[in-house]
Amino acid sequence: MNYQFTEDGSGTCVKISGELNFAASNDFKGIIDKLVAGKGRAVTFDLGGVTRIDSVGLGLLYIAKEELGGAGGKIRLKSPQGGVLKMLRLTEADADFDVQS
Amino acid sequence: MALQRLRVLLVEDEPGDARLVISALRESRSPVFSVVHETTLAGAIGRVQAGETFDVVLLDLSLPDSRGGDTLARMQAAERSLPIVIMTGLDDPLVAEGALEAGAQDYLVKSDEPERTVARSIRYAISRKHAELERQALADRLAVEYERIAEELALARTMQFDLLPRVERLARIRARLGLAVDGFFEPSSNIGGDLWGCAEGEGGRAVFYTFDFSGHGVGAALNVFRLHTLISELEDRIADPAATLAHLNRVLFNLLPRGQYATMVLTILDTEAGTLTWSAAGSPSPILFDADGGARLLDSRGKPLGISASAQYTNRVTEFPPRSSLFLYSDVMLESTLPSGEMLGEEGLLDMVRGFHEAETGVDIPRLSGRFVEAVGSPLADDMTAVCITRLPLSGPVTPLMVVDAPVTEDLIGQVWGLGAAAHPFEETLPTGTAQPLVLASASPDTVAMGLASPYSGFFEIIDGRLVDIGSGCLDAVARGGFCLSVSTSTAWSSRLAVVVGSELRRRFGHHCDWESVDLCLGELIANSIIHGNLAIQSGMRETREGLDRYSEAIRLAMSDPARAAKRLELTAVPLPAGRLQITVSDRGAGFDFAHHDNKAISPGAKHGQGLALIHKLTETVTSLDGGRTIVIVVQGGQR
Repeated sequence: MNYQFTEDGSGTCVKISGELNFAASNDFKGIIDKLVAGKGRAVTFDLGGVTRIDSVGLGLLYIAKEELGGAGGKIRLKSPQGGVLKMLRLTEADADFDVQS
Repeated sequence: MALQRLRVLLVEDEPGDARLVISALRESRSPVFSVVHETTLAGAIGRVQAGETFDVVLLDLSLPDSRGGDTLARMQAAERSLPIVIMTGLDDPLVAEGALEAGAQDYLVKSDEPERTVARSIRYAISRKHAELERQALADRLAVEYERIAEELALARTMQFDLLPRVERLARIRARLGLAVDGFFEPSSNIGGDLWGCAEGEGGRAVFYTFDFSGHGVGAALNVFRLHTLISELEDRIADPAATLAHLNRVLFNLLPRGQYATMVLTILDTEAGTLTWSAAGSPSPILFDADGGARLLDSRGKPLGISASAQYTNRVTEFPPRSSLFLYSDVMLESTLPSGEMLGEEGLLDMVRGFHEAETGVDIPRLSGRFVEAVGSPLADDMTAVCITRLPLSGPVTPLMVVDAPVTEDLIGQVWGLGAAAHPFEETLPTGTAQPLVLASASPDTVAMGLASPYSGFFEIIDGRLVDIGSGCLDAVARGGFCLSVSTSTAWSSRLAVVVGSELRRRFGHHCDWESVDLCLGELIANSIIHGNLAIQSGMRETREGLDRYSEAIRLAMSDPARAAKRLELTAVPLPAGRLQITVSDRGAGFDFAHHDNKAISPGAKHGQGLALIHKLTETVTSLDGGRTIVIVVQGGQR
């Protein structure tokens, strides 16, 4: 998994690519640490480059959500593709995140 | 010993006894004795240890500072090569004998007239000690020599076993020619005069032979090396067994001392023509099993090699279709006597061999040789060879072929065979018509991907140099038209397995399937097997940001434990009717209570424990085997 932070007027965007899965937890911890440091801004995860997700990866998104405590509103999940979108729908994650497909 | 001067160390505390001995020794003119007198053992030992040399010690056992056998032992310890004559006060044969047994060379009874006996006793003791020392030196030399010979025999034995066809060669013959070969070889006296061998010829042909030199032991073994060398020089040119025997006979006739000879049978199996051509030089009659299991003895008349320069040999031909077997053996199998006192003979052997023959697999050599040795008792009277060559059925179960991209050790090949597969060196072209070969290699992203891609149907990782702990489902899956993967946990962790497998599934079975679901299932199954199965990490810690650190650390620790990192993770995929796919993922962890977790529904927002519920939702069926270590899913063909 790789990630890249960008900031704009509306908040922080984290562009994630590769596999958001059981092997990504260490990298994702880095993302959360950084987001918590800049807490208060709206957060968008751009999932357009994520090729795979598993339940561990989904759990990571939920940990981020909990850590940010709703500051800046719902976390936005942008452009999930194929299996990623399927996972979000199956687990009804689209109720907890603002999914923009 | 004439006109010799002999130095005598007299150890005696009784002045009277000492005087008597000294004066007796002065009487002697030939040899002349010079006497040094000590009254204590310490004094005597002191002189010896100070480097004074003596030809003999006259030793009283009862001294102020030592008594009895102790006196003798301490004196001997001071100087091993000194002859010792014990002086006893009493004419007690028990004391004297005890002293002789303990290593003294002679004894004197003090009450005897010393002038008559002492000189003679000294001379006797000296010559006896000399003889002893010489014997000891000889025994030492012999021991060294014996050890050297034993070492050389052991080496020769190893070398002789090295002449036998190697497992790799047999595996190649099996893969290329469809000939299953197994042999038993046991020299009777460490090394012997028997050997069997094989060679691959052109155009679907293979050569097999056995020979047996007269006699056994070192001489016969040397002849074995000679003949093996001669045959090796011919190896790929053996097209006419009779002509080859005639050639070998001429060379051996000039080489062998008179009276030495060899019996031999040389066969060519032509798998394209379906024939067996053989020529014999007085060997025991080979046993041929035809395709229906009928057994008969083949004519093996012919003059033994090395007896007559002009001997001629005959080629004989018979059919050798698939499911035929040829059994070659040495004469010990005919000539050994049973406990009843009878020789086994051809009929007896035929009966015994029949009992271990199966049409598909030939004669079970390990069991047959075990049974034979048990029946005739060991040690065997002569060298024993038993070889069976079987033409495998053309149809029916195909032996999977493992292409080995690693140093091909005998151990590894044995492990491949243990799986019911054959090993094939990577650098060699695959035999034509090989269906679904597999790759056996150390893991790298390249080798794993190669094993999954055409023409291969699976990848087996060599872990710690070995191919062990392979699940039986792997080769089953391949036989059913699928593929398989068996890798270590560390490879599974680092090689993006779900991605590699997912794309291979699309390539092979790409026409119709819900690939998104398959990908999601693969991800869940592989993650579960690695993390919860083989690494035995609980998922509960992955609840919070801090928990993530503990989780990462737990994985790092588990991966650095070689036992856990080396545990196998296996995956198979098999096409089912109606475009469905069966995917199986197994680990070597503790398993889990599948039934307990099986009924769970997806709980939105949960940060772990969702995997199985997800899989349920995405598949037609989910089942568990082996206490939760294996999960089998079936996914439907066509879009959901």
